[in-house]
Amino acid sequence: MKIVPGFVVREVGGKTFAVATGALAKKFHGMITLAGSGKEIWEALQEDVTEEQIVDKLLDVYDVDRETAARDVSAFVSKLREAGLLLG
Amino acid sequence: MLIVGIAGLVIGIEHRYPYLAKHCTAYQTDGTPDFTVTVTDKMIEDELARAETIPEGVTPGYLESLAVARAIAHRLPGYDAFLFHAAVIEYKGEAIAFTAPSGTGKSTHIKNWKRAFGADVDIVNGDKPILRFGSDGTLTAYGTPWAGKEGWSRNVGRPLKAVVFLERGKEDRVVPLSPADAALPVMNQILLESDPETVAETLALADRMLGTVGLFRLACTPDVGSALVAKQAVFGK
Repeated sequence: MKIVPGFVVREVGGKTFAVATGALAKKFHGMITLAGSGKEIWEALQEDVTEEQIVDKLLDVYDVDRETAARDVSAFVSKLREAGLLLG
Repeated sequence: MLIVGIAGLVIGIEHRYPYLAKHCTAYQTDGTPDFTVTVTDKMIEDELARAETIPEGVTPGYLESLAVARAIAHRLPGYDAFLFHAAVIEYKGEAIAFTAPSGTGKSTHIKNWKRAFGADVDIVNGDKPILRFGSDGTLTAYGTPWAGKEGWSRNVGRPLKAVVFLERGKEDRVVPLSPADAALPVMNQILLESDPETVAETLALADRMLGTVGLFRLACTPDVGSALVAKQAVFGK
């Protein structure tokens, strides 16, 4: 899976936001705040990856157990999927 | 072609209906435009489709005027500027922008500033001012012809001192906000529906704005005291 194309990610006031642009902005209104592991998960989803691979990436960065990381990834990914923002 | 001077820019407008020229009377100028916007039928239809509430007796000319505001807004980030949905007043020459969901009492609060401080207060714009960074880094709030239902509009630019996010309260209370706290409320007042490059430029300007002006949340009553509380927070004693 992979995030749909068309997001611009920028820091505003020290927070990280993903904002839909171009054609995507007509389908998806609003913006996504990326905090904590959300940033790494978002980064990983720029390429075609599995949930397992994203969990591996988080474990490289954060000192957490696999179960916790898997729960974070699953929660974030299902929100993106519900919003129709994942391909594959 | 209609030529207007707004926010220190000369803007050409290719339009169809007479409403717009009348609407922009106080801003008409001459000279070579920095850029030109051209209205199409599709843009006017899109405005109608977008409107949440369509005012009674709405005319194509009125919709065209909204389409022009949107078209201009898309070009502004290239000039270190953006359209900010807010009501702006000036107090002794410095601007304060108030934002609030409609029905919060923004107009009432501004009338209270006028009552409390009289001639020291004047309106800059009631709905869609343009904020623009100068080469010296100053952020200036400029009046535009798009001024909301009160029609509060002056063709002036004043340095922006603060942004105040209004909400209703049982008593008047001000809380200073950090740039992180104010980031989302600020972005909610900026048109972000554009191409990736323009959105990236706009977000960079929003980030600069958060580091440049005072940021406050004001819970306020409809009483004149709300203006005294807000003024003290923004300007000190």
